[in-house]
Amino acid sequence: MPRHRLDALASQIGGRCEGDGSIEVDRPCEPADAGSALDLPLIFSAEALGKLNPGGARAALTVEGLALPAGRFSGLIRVARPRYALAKLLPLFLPTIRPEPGVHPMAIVHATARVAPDVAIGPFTQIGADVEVAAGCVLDGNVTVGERSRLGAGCRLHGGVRLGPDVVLGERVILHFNVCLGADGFSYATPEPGSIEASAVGSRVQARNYAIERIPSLGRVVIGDDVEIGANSAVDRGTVGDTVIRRGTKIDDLVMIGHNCRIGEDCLIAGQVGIAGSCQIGNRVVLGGQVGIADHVTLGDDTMVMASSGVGRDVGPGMVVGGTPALPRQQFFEQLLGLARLKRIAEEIGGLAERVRGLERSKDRPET
Amino acid sequence: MREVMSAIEEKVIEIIARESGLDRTRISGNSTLKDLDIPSLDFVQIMFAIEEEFKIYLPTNDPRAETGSIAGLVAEIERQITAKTA
Repeated sequence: MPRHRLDALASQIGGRCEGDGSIEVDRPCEPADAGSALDLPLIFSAEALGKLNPGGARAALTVEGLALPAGRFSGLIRVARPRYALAKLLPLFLPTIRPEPGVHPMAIVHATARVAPDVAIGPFTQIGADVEVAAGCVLDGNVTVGERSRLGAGCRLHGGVRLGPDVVLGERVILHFNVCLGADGFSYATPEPGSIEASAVGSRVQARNYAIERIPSLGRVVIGDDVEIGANSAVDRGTVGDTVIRRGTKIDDLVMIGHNCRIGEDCLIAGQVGIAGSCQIGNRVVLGGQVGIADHVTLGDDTMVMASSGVGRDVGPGMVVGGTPALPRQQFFEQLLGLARLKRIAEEIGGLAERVRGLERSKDRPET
Repeated sequence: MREVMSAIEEKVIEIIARESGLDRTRISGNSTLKDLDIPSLDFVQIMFAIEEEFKIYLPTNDPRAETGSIAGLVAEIERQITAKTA
């Protein structure tokens, strides 16, 4: 790994250097793993300090205000926001593993595809007709790029990524293993009203589905600049319009985004989220893990949805909601606390009922 | 009264440490649940555990509950216990 001086690192990550800034480090690590003089343990809490390996490390990255044993380290970097500091620090230690530019002899690139000279394309990757791959892109092995797709500069497609036809990627898009963009949407129709439409008025199924006809997807998937999509996530193409994910949005592994969805800028979408078709998600929305969103729902800008929640109706901007069906956070907590209290409330009511019965018995008893 | 308050505070800190997994030395009367970075669902669990322990009902609509100090929480518990025994 590359080696860095402590004072240089501090200035690069917006931290403050204390003690000997000339110390060199080559590996950020968990406190328990800090065995070498070149290690940089990350100590962001008293608990983490308790786990520190007693030998080895001469320097540490820590948080402002955390007390460390005097003399334990010869040099420190102190930061105000540890996780943000990590985002700046860790890239400096990434090994440079960019493959050599060029098309691997076992890749298949269509004669009409336009690939910038410095692009790297790995073995068994297929590039379709009329595809454009801009400068600086790296496509690992076993990637498929459908015809007429456009990849902006500096995109990184890891092994197993599948892009259907007409997918558009902005610049610096990162797609992790097996991301699938541009499959057909889950869109079907029946000649007569089927069970979904008919059962909306009662709790018994009122109609049957038959002769289910598929509605093909003619739209595209359009991904903005600096979007990152985690492994095994899928984004379906639009029916006639496009499915769009705007600039800066980050998506975790195993996320499903349905056809015609419009996702805003700088959203954070955690693992196992499922967004049904035609949803409008505003800018800077945060969706916790396993959130499910019903079709045609709109979430306003800056909405936060707590993990494992089910959203079936629109949510206004800036709201924090949780539960199924999702409610404003305070209401959700009241509901949880109410459920937790039920046993004790039942016991108290039982006790009161017993007392009332006792009072009634004593009232009915003839006075002596 | 001072001793009773201390016992309640000690119990509250014990419950918070147990439910949140935090080292109890990090928790004091001046701490707030927000300062301690306690996730919101743990917060609900803490409220419930405190209610069970002291056989009281804490207000659920207090927007300061997560930002108020543990000392404030202890004062509310003490107020309810006093009201019940009065």
